[in-house]
Amino acid sequence: MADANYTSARTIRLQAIAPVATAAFLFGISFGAVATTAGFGIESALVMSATTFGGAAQVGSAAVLAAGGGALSAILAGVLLNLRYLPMGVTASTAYRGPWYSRAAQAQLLGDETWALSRTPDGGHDARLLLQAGATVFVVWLAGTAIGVVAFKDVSVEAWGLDMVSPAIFFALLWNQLDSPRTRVAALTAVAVALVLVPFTPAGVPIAVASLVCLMGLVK
Amino acid sequence: MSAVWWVVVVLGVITVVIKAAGPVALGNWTPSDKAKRVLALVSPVVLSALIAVQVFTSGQHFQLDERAAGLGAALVALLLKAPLLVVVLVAVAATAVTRALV
Repeated sequence: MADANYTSARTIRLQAIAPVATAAFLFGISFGAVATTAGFGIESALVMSATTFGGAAQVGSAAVLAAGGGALSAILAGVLLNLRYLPMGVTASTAYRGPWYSRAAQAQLLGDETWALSRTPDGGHDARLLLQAGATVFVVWLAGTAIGVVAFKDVSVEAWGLDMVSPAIFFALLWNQLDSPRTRVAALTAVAVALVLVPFTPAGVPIAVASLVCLMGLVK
Repeated sequence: MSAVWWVVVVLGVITVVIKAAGPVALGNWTPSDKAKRVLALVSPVVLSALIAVQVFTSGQHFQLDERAAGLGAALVALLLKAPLLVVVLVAVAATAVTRALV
């Protein structure tokens, strides 16, 4: 019986991970394709996917370079877009075990999709799901990046609608989280805050500031 | 070093530090009820802000275009309880088709 339970829990995790991994693979391909337009080669695109490992920041900074912006503005856009990993790392922190270097290493697998997927209703995370999904997405993200750079070099990301891959993943994950009036109000407030800031601030700032809306949780 | 490599290396190092900061600083932390309420809101808040910026803006401008059609199609798929991958494919297809037609 214990074996059967173990297998079914693993099956459930696999069923949760598979669609997210497939979507991340498509997203990786679109990053690879965008990166070639910004002057990336296969090595630089892969190193970025392995270290920055955050689709929005990677596409964002590559887009700045492609648009003729300098390295500094591209770095700034990427850093600001990845600032959300600070509060996200805090929530994920409850799932990591072990000494500091092990926790630091586990945290590198953190990504939007897997972090949202492993979320539990109390604001914590399913540790096993977080790490297994993170490792799976890491691998397919690198594979997608490589295929995007090599095979989709001259393909228009926009003509194929691939720029909608990541917002659609985020939307599907968000959909399952809008489980209370408070969550819905917070989500809509964050949308308003982000959109109001867009004309006045550099890329990334609107999302970083909007993430502060979570402080609504301080009020009971 | 080319601009691309500067971005790859500097952004990579900073991101590694950002991701490690919380888990390293907090150790084996158990959040209070108040902290849990805040943490529970981080995900919906970040995801909704990301979606809004990715779909309704272009650079520093608002822009209502084919991406909104893709998001609308995703919403219909979600209301019909479609699985994640179907939602993504529907959004991609709707955006591509709208772009081809308009």
